[in-house]
This record gives sequence, C-alpha cells and structure tokens, in this order.
Amino acid sequence: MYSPHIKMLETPAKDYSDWKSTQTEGKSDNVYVLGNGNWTISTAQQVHIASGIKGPSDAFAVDNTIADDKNPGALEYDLRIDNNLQKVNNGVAVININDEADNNFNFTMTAPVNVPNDIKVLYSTSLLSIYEYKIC
Amino acid sequence: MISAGAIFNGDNRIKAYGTVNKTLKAGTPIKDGYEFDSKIGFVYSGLIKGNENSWVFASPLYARQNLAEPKTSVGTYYEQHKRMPGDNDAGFLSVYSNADRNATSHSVLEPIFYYVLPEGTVYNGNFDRGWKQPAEQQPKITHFTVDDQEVVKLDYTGTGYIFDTTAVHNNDVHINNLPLAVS
Repeated sequence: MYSPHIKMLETPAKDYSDWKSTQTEGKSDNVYVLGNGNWTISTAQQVHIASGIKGPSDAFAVDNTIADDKNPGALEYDLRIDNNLQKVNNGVAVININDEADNNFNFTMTAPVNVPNDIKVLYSTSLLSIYEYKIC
Repeated sequence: MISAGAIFNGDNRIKAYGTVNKTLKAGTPIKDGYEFDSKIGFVYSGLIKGNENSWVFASPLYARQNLAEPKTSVGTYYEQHKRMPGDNDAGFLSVYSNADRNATSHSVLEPIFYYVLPEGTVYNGNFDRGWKQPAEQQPKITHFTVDDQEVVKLDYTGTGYIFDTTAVHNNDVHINNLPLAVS
C-alpha cells in the first residue's frame, strides 16, 4: 500500500524480503506491507489435460479471451497433461483446434508446437478417426 | 472568556482546543517529535458566593507539548472458496480493520493499494468497495504482471477518498484460478 499523506505502523516495504520495487511501480518511500497469506490450488489424483488460451491482451493462459480489431494479435493455445495417478504408456492426446465449420473462425498456426523432447506432434486438417489411427 | 452560567459538572478542567500550524513562523516545516512550550493564564471573577467583586488570578501555567505525527494501521483479509485450476471467482483479497492500539488515526487520504495476487490467479474484473466505504469515489483500477504474479492497482489519487481503517473487509478484489495453474 502506498500512503503518501499519513504514516503507517505496518512494515515498510523496503524492510520486507519478498517485496520487489516493480510490484509498486518503482515506488519505495511510503510503501507498506499490510499482510500476506497462502492460496491453495490443488487437483485430484487424475490423468487430465489442462487447457487455456492466451490472447493479445493476456499475460497468462485463461479460460476465454478476445482477439479483434481493438485487441489485434495472435492467439496461443496452451495445454498441459497432468498425471499424478499412474504410469501411462504411449499416451496420445488429441487436441481439437477451431475450424470454421464448428466455430466462427479458422485457427491458422503461425509457429511450430512447442513441446518437451520426448513428445511427437502430428497435424491433420482432415477429420480424425481414432480407430483408424489405432489410438483406441 | 467563559460565559456566566457555564457549568463544569464533575470536571473542573477547562479545555482549550487548537491546532498546530504546518510550518514555523520562518516557514520551516514542523516535524514529528517537535516540542512546543506554551503558557496560559486565567482570571476568574464571581467565583466566591456573596462577593461579586472578588477576583481570582491564576498564575501562568507552563506546558511542554510533544507533537506526535498521526499514524494509522490496516491489515489484510482474504477468502478462498474454490481450489481447483480453472475455477472462476475462486475468492477475493481485501483490506481489513486492524486494531493496532498504537494507531492515532483511522483515516488514510487517497491511498494506492497494490494487490500482489497469488501465483496462478488473475483479477476477474469484479471489484467490491464494501461496507462503510463511500461508493461515489471509485479508484482507477489497472493491472500488470511481475515475475508471473499479477499486481492489481487500486489508485485513489485525486479522488478525495478517505479510507476508513476501521471498516471490515473492503476494497475486495475477486480472482479466478488460472486453468493452467500448478498445484
């Protein structure tokens, strides 16, 4: 908290080890730390694909976003496979990307998919038959 | 002059209230811890029953006063209602009354609050002023990111807002858990 007109009894930010001056836009005088706490994020034991999308105005991948004439720019799909349940051998994840038939716009890729080393990425613009690809 | 008929019920003190200027005569700012010597004298009449002409003179009293700059105090409060990644409106962060007994003021003029959100969460645009906070003065709300944590800035500069440090949780910033948040 920045309080330029009245002094506060709380710890000055300068004396607080977790404070970064960028968090208060470079202000350091009259900045106090009011408190802190713990926020818990937890998942059940599961195999799960977490997904989000990052638009031109987002700092993080979120649930839904906007890219239009007022917020122009690229969209980024982000996916993470969570597995805290059991070992999965030769797992395959199918990621369905927007197309004009089912959504209002086509998603055109502008860069390679960025994945860890031991993952192979396959693309197709035609309909996928999971039986034909011997996935199931 | 104390008017005739003034009653001092059970309390014989006469109180003279005043304020201290912000600067000395020469223009030097007055700072915390400055000491001021003051002198006050009294003349009383009509105090003795049956003798309207009697006067009582109290010799001047000298006092030294120590100027203490007002200091205030406020704490924080938060509620988490949802814990899974991707949970929307998972809870809120707020400021809260803090009964620090050394506080000498309950008001903060035009503060700027910086809420450093927990990693894996973002502000969802839902802001609640809360009880005992004047609704007409709205902060300018912006947000930015520092090292994977979102910072929400509530800026009251120039609004005339006086923040009440005795109010229960207020200036609530509601947040979402990000879909890719790591547990």
